[in-house]
Amino acid sequence: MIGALGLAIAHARANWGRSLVLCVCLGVVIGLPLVTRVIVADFGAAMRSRAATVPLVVGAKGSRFDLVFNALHFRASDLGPLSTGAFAEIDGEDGVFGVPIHARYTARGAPVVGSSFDYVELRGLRVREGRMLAALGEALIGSRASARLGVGAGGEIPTDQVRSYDITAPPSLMLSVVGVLEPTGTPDDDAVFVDLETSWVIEGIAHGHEAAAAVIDPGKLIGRSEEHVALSGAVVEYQRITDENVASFHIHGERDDLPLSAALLFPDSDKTRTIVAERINATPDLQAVEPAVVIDDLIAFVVRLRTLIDAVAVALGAVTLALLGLIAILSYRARMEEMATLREIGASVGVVRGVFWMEFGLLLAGGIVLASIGAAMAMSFGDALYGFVL
Amino acid sequence: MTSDAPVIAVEGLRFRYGGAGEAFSLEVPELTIGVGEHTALIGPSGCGKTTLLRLLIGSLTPDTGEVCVLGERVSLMGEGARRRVRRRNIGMVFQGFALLDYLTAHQNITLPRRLDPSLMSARDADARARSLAERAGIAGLLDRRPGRLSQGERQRVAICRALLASPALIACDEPTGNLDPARSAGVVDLIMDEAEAIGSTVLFVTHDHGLLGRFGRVVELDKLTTMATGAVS
Repeated sequence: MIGALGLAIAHARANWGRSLVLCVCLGVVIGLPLVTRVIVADFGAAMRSRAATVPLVVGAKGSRFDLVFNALHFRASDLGPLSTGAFAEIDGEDGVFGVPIHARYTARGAPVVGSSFDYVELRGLRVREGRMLAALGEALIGSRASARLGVGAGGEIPTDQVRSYDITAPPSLMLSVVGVLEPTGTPDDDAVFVDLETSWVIEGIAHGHEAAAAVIDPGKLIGRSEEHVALSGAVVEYQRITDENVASFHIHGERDDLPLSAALLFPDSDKTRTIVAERINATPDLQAVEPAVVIDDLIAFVVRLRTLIDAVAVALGAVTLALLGLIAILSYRARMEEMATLREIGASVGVVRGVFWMEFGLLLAGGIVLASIGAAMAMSFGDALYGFVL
Repeated sequence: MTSDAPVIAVEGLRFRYGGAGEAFSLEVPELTIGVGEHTALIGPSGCGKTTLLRLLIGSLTPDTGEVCVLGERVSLMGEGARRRVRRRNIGMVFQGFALLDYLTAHQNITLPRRLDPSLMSARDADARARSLAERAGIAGLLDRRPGRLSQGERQRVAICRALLASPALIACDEPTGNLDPARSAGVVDLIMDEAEAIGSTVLFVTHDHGLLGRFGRVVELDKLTTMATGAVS
């Protein structure tokens, strides 16, 4: 049998191109369902574990998936805002603790998350390099975002311009990165964290510019009275917050109207959770959802999708196996002369058959190895894949 | 195997074979080839030379009669035992060389050892292969595959393979059939010289009468056998 194995290896090596193609075909047939299962299982586990930490998410009415993905995974959504006043009302209820989330903008592709220090405590975020947030315009960056963007503590990162050709849109704000967070293996690693006031500056609701009283340029001045100064759009807003200009930043309008994109709610009991959710869902503008339920629904959908992929893989596998069978028959016919030679010079029946079947065994083993490598890569890149998908 | 037994002994052999619509019957009443004999088996094309050779080495089983190789009744043996007799005692040289095209010349020559490691050690097989290749004039070609060798070189590789285990019987099935006269003479010389050196018996099937001078005995199949041709009943 060792002789047959040696001949099988020699034949596979001499016809390496064909062997490689067959190995890859077998690898795909075996690996596709395997990798899909690994990814879905990993993905589901990561999503569920993050959802399990938050009992309720509140936000504007609309897609519950959008709301949960915005609150937990910082994906921008088209949902309307949750006003700061409404959040304060919910947060002030007995037995409810809330954490505000403002995740509507990005900085060089990384989601910019405005929240309070409660969020940092809730997620157990720790600063690996630099320090915590202390002032307007400062940012903490997640470990993966830091590595991807090449920005560390002491660096700067501009927020992404939302509407490039709209002069009324808020300009890009240069954020000062004061710290890099330790990796957590969650979407927090891909985000840039700021305080809520900074996120309102990014949104253009708060801004800073030269003092209105000091403006004398008639091109920047629309009108002046004893009580009010009306400035024109020609007054340039500060795009970088510094020690010198930070005092000029201010908010126009009512503080209760300032927008959040969602809030994480932590009721102190199941009863409180039910009551709060019911009450919020009874309002015309807001909804409260349980992230674990929403994610379970999503995973169920993904599993149904995986079943479809499995079915496609089975069909693909059947076709590939039929082709491999055809190749085996043609290959056997092409090698009948070789088999006859081996018989004539006295090779045993086992060796003659073994030469042929062992080569297929080797190719199958190669395919299994390729599939295993694919599955291992899917597992090792699970975090990156998770970050990429969400 | 008994030491004083002839290399091949045939008695009352009868074998019937054929294709669609036609059948042939090959009958050999008696044939003995002694140890160290160099025998040429000649006859016109299609007279059954190759069939007889395959019967003598146990590749085919006669319908009736007895074939003994080195005292062993191969005609009564099972397939596995007959293969073992061939592997250990017989070196085959084919008209079409029958080299494995995915092996190098060296790997082709040492193929018998690969199929039966009990024949000799790997080191001995390597040394013997290089020694045979040196004498066959193909020492510099051992790393080449058959596709990169000329016909003459390929036949030399095939001869070296047959001689590797110093077999008691070297059975050649028209090994010069594809070669020009000069190369044919070279191939015969190589086989005969090596057979002489290791004391092997040679059974050489050919229809080339120009080569017969090298053999101690010539057996004409026409005179040896009774060939019958007829419709399949």
